[in-house]
Amino acid sequence: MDYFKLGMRNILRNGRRSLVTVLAVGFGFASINLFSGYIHNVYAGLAEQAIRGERLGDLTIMKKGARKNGKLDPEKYMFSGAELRGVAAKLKEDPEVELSTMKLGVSGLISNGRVSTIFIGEGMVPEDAITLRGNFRKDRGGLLDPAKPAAGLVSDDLAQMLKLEVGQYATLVVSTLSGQTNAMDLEVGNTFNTGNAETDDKYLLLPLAYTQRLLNTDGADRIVVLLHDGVDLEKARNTIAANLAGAGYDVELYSWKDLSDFYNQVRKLFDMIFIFIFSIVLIIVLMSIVNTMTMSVIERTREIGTLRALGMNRRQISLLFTVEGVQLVLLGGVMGSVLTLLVALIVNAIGFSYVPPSSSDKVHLLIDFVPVVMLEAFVLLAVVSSIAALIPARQATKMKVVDALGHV
Amino acid sequence: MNLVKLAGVSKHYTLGETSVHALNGIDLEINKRDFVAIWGPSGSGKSSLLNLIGLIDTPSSGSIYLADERIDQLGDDALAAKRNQHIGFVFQNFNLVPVLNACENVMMPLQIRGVPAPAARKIAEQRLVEVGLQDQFLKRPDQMSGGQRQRVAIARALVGSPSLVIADEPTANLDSDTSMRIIDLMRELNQRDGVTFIFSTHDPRLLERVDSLVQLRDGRITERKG
Repeated sequence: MDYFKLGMRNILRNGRRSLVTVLAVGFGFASINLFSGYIHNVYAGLAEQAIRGERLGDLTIMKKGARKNGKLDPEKYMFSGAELRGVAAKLKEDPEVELSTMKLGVSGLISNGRVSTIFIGEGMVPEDAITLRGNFRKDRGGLLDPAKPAAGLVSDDLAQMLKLEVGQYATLVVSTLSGQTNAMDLEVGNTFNTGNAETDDKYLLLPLAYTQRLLNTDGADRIVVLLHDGVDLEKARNTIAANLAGAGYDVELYSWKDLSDFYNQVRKLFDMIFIFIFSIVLIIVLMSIVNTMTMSVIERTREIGTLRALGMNRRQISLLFTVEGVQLVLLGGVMGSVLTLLVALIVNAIGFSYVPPSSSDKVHLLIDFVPVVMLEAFVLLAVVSSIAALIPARQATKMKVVDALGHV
Repeated sequence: MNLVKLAGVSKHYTLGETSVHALNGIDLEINKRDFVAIWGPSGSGKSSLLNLIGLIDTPSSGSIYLADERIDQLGDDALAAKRNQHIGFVFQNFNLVPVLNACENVMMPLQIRGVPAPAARKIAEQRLVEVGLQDQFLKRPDQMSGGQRQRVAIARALVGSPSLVIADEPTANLDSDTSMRIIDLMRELNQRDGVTFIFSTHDPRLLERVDSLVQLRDGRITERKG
């Protein structure tokens, strides 16, 4: 029995009704694909922003307990110079590590000579900061100049607030690790956009050596690790943790996902919106399929009676209508895929840009084409629609043959 | 030899609060190779009787035998299989599947049985030739006349080589000449292939062509000839 052929001909026979159903499925599927493609691009952008833009790297190594108690007793949780060299040597042996570099956090007051405000900053080795940044958003600036060991980068809003210009000097006032006040002049090497509205009015990127002098230490509070492309993050974390523990270092490792609250918040929000949209689309698709197939069953009641009289059993009748329902979903899926591709190409070509919440910079609205997610969404739609098609199909099988034949 | 036997068969329907006695205590035997007309006025119980013999309805009481096997107590799937294997149907309104062409319609009972499409097509084409539709294989029902559609229905009824063909008012929607030709065709196939035909009619002119007649009135057999 060629259920596929029979189903397809009945779909074509009721062309207008089938088209409406296929359009409902197609538009619904396309809307899921486009939104999932958009958030895929957003997630990738946020990941890049965290790893390279905010210089979190893939992994951050801290002394055990530093994240919880480091602010209360920074000296205790600081890596000494000797420890830093030891850990760096160990990491260098790992072929999955592209770069490991030190970071030293600092906060205090910045003054232009007339007014002061708070700042938070990080000290990094300039060459390593450049490597870590890679090709990410070079238009934002933010690269330390290795030739200027006393020049730092001032975030755009902070520079604007203090009217600091490139080449001018500001004064940084901090508490050293031992609690004494220290002040040093800082040349404004350049200004840059942090990409984050919450930090763009208070952030400084400083050379590590300068920061160490400022805090009167030869250590650093964390080590940032950049992995080669394609390396499994969790696997690498476990390997590095085991190697360092084996070498006697009592450390804990955090992935960029652990440290980027913004990424996690955005992801939770978008995942919720995606579930909401998917649920609405699913309900629309289900109702379309059930409605179309119920109409088909009612209109073809006599045909059902005839087929039953010719010897079709209930299971075969059920299969007949289920296959037809699945075919409608398949056609909708094909239409939705083509629509997704077209809309994604057009939107990406136009290059819309917008300023997202908590961002200090415009980003492009881009839609990724993600076949795996599309396939998963389609399989879920197809499975649920098949189950939905069973409702009218079961209705068809329940009819008594003689009643179905007498149906007008 | 009996092909169909009904013993004390009754059929009652409930319509709202009214109970309709469509058939009352029917005893009937039909032999192999018979060409039987069920005759009577509207509401006499002709269709109810054919529905029971054709295994598309179940009796309220009594027993039904097909080739000496009691079949009124079989389950739904078993009845479907019996219909497919042993019984062909010709309906008053032809009941062809509108999206299938003549050949595909005739193939249907074989495909339900699981016969592969090429083999089913070959047999269906043979049957269509036998009913005079050798040049109509690819036409859909809406492209054919009433007489042609009923020939397709007869070919479909015979394609599975059934022992029994049930035809409920097969000529009711046809003009007189076509009706006669359809009955003659059925008669010819009955005599040539030995298939038992039972058909209902209220047209007295068709009764001249049968060799056995069952007359019904108010759900009872009032006359049996042949």
